[in-house]
Amino acid sequence: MNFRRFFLSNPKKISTDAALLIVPLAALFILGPMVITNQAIFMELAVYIMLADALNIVYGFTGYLPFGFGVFFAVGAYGTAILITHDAWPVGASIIAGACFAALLSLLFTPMLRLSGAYFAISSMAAFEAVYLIFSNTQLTFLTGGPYGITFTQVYNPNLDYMIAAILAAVSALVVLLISKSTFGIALRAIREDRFAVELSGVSSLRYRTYAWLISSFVSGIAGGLYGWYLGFFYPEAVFSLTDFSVLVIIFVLFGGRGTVYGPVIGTVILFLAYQLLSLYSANLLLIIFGVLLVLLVLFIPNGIEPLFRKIVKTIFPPGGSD
Amino acid sequence: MSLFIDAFITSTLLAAFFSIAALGLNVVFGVMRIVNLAHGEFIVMGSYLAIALALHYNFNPVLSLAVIVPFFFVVGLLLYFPIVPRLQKSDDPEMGSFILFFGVSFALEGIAVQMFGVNYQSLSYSVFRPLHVSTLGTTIPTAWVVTALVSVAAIVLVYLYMYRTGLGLQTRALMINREEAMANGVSVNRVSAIAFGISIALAASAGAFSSFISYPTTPSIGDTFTLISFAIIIIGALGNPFATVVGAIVFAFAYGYTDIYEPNWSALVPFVILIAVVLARPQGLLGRKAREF
Repeated sequence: MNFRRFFLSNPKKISTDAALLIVPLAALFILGPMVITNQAIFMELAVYIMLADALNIVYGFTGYLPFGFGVFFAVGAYGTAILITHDAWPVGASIIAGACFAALLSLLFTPMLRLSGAYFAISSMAAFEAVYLIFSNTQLTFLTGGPYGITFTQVYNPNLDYMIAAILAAVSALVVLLISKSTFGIALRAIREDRFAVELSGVSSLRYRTYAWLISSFVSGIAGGLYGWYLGFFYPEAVFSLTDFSVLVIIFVLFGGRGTVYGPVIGTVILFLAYQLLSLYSANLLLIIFGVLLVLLVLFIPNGIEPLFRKIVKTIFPPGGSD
Repeated sequence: MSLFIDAFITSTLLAAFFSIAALGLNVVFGVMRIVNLAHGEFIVMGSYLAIALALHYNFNPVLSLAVIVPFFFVVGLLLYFPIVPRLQKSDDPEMGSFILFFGVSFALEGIAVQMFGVNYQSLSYSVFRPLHVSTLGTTIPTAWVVTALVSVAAIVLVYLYMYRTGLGLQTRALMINREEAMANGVSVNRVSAIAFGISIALAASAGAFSSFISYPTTPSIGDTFTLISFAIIIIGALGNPFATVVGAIVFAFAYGYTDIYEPNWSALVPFVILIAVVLARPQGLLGRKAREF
């Protein structure tokens, strides 16, 4: 395989796009906590950006919707927590190892990638539930803390964690940018459009889907590890939440624009902050509003708000802007 | 040995209940090729309506079906027309429906919390007299037997609709081959709308009994029902309503027996079976081909 071509089919335009992604994110993560003095909100935002980018790699590019994809996030968090509590590993190594657990788990699930649409979505949901029931089982309390949760406050360091998460959120956005500009990304998009044509041109769609799946689960695992570290203590339900770490992320990606570079980031920033604002007033109203929003999104703007954003950028920086 | 028989009877009754709980979901998938992720929420809503009727008018759940079935049939129709035809025109209705109906389930859950609060509610076994019946040396609540009987009746009614009426014939035609059915003049919208209404009404009817036999009613239990229903219809066969019964039997027996012998792991079993079935035979135990390269 020609790796240069594999990773960079179009290196020229990347720097503009990279700047357009990183500068606003950096500003947001540095200035944000100064304006709203609640670092936890921005920590979660960074985690969500990573998750949205991870989901975008699988769902956005290949069109396969892993409904229970939050399982990798949770396994990343648990892997990190377990290595720190039981083996006293340093935090960085634990997070990376936790993400590797997530990637291993995704390898275990690769047979599911052979399934078509609804079957894939549902079986990934079932896999989520199964893994959750294993981790929260009372008979595994010695290892995972079972339903009583797991504590590892000895390494608690929210400021450092926040910094790393913010940087990695930007990095994950760059990863998506790189993928979208590479032949790899083109292959993934081709799979979304027409799997049969891809197979006919001699490309193994299964293999490419597996790569996307692996990258996605690894990024989710890192996000999970960072989030777990920030919490220092969590119950299984705090990380194994289908609503919080699968569905919400799907909404963010869909709202922003799936399969695009900016979409997941824009969608996450706007909706997550709206979510935080709304939850100040009524958590219940929030469910109803997000539910209705989801219905309207699918029916009326299935491509998200990214095209709109693109138009705005083009009016501000007329010619020679982003493609 | 009596433990074994006990589990057998319980599992049989559970299978009947889970059949009716999941049947509607499969009808919708079969006819419309869309996935109703809000299915469980309609079970919950039916349950709340049954509880309210019992509380205010002293209806027993069988009687309350006279209100629940027409009410939720109409709800189904009202939901169908603004959403489904439009959804089916989009480029990926199956995935779109996943997300869209999750939105519906979000909204329904929010409404349920608003109206009924988050506390557990159940119907009392004492709505049926005598309280218990004894067979084969085991004693079971009458409510469970009634639940199973109503479920069987509902399945028979759906069967009669599908195989003995003109609309049922059109419904089956639509399930087997959408394009050809349309080319032969099947009125897609009418047939689909009725199927959707039936599906919601079935879910709500299952809900009327759910607090006896499965879980007490809370707004958040809907997701569990949705997942269980999915497990069942996939184990049976997606898009084949009567394979639901087979799926429910497999599910209920796996759950019933592990619940008695290994209660710590019983919740896990259905999902493991689901994943195993999906990987080994994704079309379900009774289905047609579903796997891709």
